[in-house]
Amino acid sequence: VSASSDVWTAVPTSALPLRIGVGFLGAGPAVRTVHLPTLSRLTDLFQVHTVYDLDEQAAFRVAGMCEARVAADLDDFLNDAALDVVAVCTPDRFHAQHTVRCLEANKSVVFCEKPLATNKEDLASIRTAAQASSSTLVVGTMHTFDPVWRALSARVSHDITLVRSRITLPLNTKFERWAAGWSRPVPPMSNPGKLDPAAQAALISDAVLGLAMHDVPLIRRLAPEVAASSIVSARVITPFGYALVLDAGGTVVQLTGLIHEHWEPTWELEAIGSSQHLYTSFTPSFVHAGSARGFHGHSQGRHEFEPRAWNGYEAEWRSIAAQATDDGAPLPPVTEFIDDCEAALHIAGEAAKLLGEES
Amino acid sequence: MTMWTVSIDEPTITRSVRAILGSLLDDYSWTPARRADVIAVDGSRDDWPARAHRALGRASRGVVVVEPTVCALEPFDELVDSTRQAGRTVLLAEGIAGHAALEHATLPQLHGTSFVELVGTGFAIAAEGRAHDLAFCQVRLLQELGLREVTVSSLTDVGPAVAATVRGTISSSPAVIDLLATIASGAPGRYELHLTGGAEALHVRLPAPDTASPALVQYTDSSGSHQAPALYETGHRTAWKQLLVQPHTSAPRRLDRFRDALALFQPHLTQAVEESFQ
Repeated sequence: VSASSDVWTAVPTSALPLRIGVGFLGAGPAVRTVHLPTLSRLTDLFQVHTVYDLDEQAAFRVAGMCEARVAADLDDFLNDAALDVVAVCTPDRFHAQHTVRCLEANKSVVFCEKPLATNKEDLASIRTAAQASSSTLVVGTMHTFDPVWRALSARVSHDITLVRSRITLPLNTKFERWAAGWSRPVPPMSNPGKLDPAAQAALISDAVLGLAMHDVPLIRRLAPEVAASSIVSARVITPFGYALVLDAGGTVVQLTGLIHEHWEPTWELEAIGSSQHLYTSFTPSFVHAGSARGFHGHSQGRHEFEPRAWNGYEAEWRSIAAQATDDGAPLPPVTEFIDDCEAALHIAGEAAKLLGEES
Repeated sequence: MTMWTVSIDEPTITRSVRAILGSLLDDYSWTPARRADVIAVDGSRDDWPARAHRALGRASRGVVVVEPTVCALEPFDELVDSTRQAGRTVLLAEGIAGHAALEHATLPQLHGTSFVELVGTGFAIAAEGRAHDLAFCQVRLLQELGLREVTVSSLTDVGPAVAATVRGTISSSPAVIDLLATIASGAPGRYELHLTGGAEALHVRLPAPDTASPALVQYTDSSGSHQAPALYETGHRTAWKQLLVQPHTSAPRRLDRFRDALALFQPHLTQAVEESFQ
């Protein structure tokens, strides 16, 4: 934790005289569109000290936005004593390698964007490194931190027989512009028509790890056996989407995801059991539009949960602050995040395998 | 790309301004200096027009007033005059009246049976005892919706600290206006507007000004209902974006309408509120 110095720290709402030092490993879109806007809402808690990226220009650009320094190399970054929290925001395929390096450096908190790993071998290396490290590991599956989801899920008893996840979203670019005034360049969407088996397998794997991954941790809380589920059916929805039905130890799990080009976002998670009904509607990614809303229905009636002021992004950084300052222990155990990723890898792998066999 | 420096007049608005500018990182950067391209002023203070006036001297591009509240007319007029003389911009960042969703609203035809009902609850804009600020936001909302000929026949503090009602008319039509503003921390903050014409209706629901949660804008006629696309942007962020793209065009009109609303309210303010302006 470092002493704060600039005039902006003269915020009367601040309860902390010191701010938590943050370093970003990677200066790409996730930092610009998610984390800097979020941390700009929490300037009384965090100060971005250091940025490192192989793309030096990108590193300097992000550092300039938050008055941070640019590290000369990865060792310089990891040896920076001002960093209490390091955030791994490199491309997905490097998450495991960089997370292991950060865990070995024993920073107070190691945050990694989702997915934590893109294959089981990499995930195993993280598990080993996490066991040997004094660091707390946090993964940016933001809905697990959503305050309404947390309140709702605490009410659920384990008699769920059907779980439905439905995510249909406009292109990220719209939301990135609202969140950060900037969006990554993306090629126009086109429907490729019928895909060959290898392309279908690759697309469903990408879609599960890129989109369904957000909901997998929540589904694990509702249907723990999803981590060893069998795939009943799997379909690719072009240009980018999936329709999956899983058998999770007797609980049916239906997952639908689609990226489209009209304006209306839908992000719903529903769970139905013999004596209860849970429904959650999340706000889209990137924008700070408050938390989810939802309800828990049971034999005594229905309890509605109104949206809270902050969303999962802000809640995850608030949880990190609490962890870094030993102010309570609101974070799940490290194994939860690793097991979440293992479940997602299992679903992605099994769905890809099934699509290959069917074709 | 030019990045404008931003300074704040006083730290009470640091958190809210930083949150907005954190979403416009390519356009604005902070400076601890007193002089800057843009200076943000806290509009919740009674003396905000005078502070904005002074800030104009330190801002090379303009001044943004964050959530301006009811104030005295004289210093406001002085601010407007000096703004025009200096050729700079004073931009009012209004969370409710400045919400971009209002641009997508279609007004029903108003006639003798028309009724405008607006309920605002639980907002942080208005401090306890200042429900008239919330009521003022409602009149401003109606103006920005296109109802430029709103009149106020009564402003009543209820409670007396936590609620205000406004009764009024629209001078060009026999339509009746009924507004209720309540400061209630237990209720989710939002504004609900129902504008009922003969065969048409408009329903607008605006979220609290500090969240990018989308507004609902729904127009209904005999063919069905139409809902405008959701915008995930606060009215404050919209104002900061306007400053970048059209600093000298829309701002004066908004100042004029704001002044009209102030003039409507002046005869109805309590003595205590008027004394607070001194």
